[in-house]
Amino acid sequence: MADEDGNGGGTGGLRLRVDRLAAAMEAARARARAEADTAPPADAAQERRAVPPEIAGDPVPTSAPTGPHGDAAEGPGDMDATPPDAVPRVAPSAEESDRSDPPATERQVRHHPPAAPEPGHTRAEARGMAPPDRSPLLLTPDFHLPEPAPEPSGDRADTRGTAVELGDAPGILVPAAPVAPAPPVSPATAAALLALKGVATDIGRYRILEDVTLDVPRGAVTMLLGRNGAGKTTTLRTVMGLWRARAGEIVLAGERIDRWATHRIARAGIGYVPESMSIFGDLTVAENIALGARTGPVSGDRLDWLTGLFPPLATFWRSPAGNLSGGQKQMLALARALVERRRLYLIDEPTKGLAPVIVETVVSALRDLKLQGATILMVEQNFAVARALGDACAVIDGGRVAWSGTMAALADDPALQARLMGLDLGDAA
Amino acid sequence: MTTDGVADPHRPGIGARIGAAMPWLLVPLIAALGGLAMVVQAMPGPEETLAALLRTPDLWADRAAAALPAIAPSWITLTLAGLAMGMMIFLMASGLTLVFGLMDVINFGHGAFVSLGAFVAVSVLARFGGWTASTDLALNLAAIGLAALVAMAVAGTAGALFERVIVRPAGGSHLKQILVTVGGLIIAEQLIHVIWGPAEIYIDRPAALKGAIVFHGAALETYRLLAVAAGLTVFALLALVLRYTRIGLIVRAGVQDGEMVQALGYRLRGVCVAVFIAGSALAGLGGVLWALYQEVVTAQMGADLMVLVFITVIIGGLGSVTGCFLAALMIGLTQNYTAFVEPKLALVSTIAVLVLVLLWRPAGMLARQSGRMS
Repeated sequence: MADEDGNGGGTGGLRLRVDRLAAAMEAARARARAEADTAPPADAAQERRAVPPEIAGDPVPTSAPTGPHGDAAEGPGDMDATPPDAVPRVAPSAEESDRSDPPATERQVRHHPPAAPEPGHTRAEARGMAPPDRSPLLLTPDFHLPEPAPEPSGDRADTRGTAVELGDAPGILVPAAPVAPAPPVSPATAAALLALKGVATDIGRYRILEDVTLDVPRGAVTMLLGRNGAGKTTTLRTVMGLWRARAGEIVLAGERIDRWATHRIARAGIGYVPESMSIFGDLTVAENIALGARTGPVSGDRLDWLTGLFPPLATFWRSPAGNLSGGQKQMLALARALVERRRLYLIDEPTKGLAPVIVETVVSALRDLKLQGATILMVEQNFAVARALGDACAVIDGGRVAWSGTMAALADDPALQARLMGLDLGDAA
Repeated sequence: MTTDGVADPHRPGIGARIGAAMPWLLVPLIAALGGLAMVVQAMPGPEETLAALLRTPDLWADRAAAALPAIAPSWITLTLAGLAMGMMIFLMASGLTLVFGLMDVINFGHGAFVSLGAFVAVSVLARFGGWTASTDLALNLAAIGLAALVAMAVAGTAGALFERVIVRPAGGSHLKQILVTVGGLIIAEQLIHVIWGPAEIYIDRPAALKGAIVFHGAALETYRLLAVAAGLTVFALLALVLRYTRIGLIVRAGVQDGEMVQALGYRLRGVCVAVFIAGSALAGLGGVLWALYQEVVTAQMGADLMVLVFITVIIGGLGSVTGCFLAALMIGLTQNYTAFVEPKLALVSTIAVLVLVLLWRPAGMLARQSGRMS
């Protein structure tokens, strides 16, 4: 059967690509084994920990071992650790934001010796940068904020900004989440990559979206919040063309896409992670990933990056995806969208129904993606996760955007949260 | 254990592995049961009833030992006949199961392509009467190959037209699909009447394919061997395409969740049309082989076979080519053994297999997992 629709590949092409993926996977595993043999095991898990413990409800460390300069990450297990402020913080340009390569910057910074901060100052402060945001992250509104940990003389033991080397390949670092998130992007000033103008969508006889007007700025994470049934998922599906907009315009990088077929919208550079994950259960993990790479073979770096973000995928590379756990399926759904660089990622409730430890992994991965300057429109019910990741925010209610602004503005205004979403985070907010 | 030396919690246990292999084991199991039934039937003596013999277990071993050599050639012959029939049913059903799995289309008009392929083959073979009359096997095979190619081309073209004119306008409503495809089947039968006439047409198999090879006393019909070879070849090709090509990957993914395949940037509409055409062409090929097997063609032959084809698709699991292949072999073998042991039960036996399989696996033996249910 000739593939005349540009679906790519021919007989044997897929096999080669899957084999190449498999070979890269084997190499990554070998490197991981070699690293496991040499690195002190006790610190390995801590090193890979990418999300602060608060997000999973773990107790906040009140003190941490410090190094000679007050650095926390200079123990024997932290030989490869990168200083928290080494990860890129500058919002990328519009051109860069369309390219979500594995972060080259992280690979390079590992070879620079960390600058020692003055006693009593954080590393970031020593460089004249804004102090890291250490505000606690909450999973649930009723989570009670623990007492803030007393600040040690130097950086506290916070692995959020450490970069973890995947195996012994020089320069291949899996960056963990940053201590400080990327600077908030003002929706008013950033150029919108995606714009919805008065979008209305019906499902059968029901009017789900009435008038959704929303800008998704480049290089920022825009959170779409709202109660159940408000129209968040419908908004994403309408952007993907899975449901047709009855009225309004959807503009991606200056082109109207609301009448395009779904496959054409995807080819325009949109990666979609649906709420149901839509994993192909009869296909192997490798085949699911191969389907995500529509335009060509996956580079080894990209694969290393993905398997660093989601290690279970490497373990079950040739297993049917239907055998994976729910969390692993979510990882696969994300990896399938991330395997190719996209201009925009639409991610629908990536932490829904996941165990806290898996939420850590997912949030860490999304933070990593954000650091690369990716543009993301994400639906999330977990306000703590939304606050941790979001730059901009829109709240949908009754099929309309009831409020939009910066995530920080919403996070700092409990009254607004209560009015828009019925949230009552108490003192924690 | 994984390659990392870590215990793999997802590795299936022994029970799960037997369960996974069971559809493959059912085919030899049915063959063994068929042989057992034939032996039991042959065990009573000339003046003895089976019921009387069953009351005297002491005689069973001797009688079975005596019956086994006598029944073995018949068992081999029937097994080959069952496999050949199964392969031909598989050819007709494979396209239907893929079309249903990928497009969610219940195509009751699929039988039209079987009939059309058979009639086209009759016309082609009639034009090459010299080749079919020859005792040279190569010429015979060339004639059949040419007829099959033309029949597949015509059936595939008709399939493309059928999909565009009849199936696509019906949309996703199953009721509409059933109504319009049954209507399409009736129209196709009437068109065959117009072109080839209303009477049934008798055809001769090519000369070299009329005989049989004797193997340890068992007569193995040459044509049935050809049918088995053709079915195995098509199955192997389908399996290779589905397993090792990108379009095969898209088809397998599309069977599970077509929406997500499109959201990944693949134009599924074109793949669906290609699969519909390929399925129609395979039905045409099945029609060619069935026509030469029965040595008669009628406009209704496709519709008549649709009962068996649908039973096969349901047993195998909608959308599964491998399930369809195994189910077709099970149906073919069961029908042949039953027709030998108790002819009145031949049709019932097929339904019995269907019921038993659905009691065991309600979605069919190898039903696809739905991506949306993940």
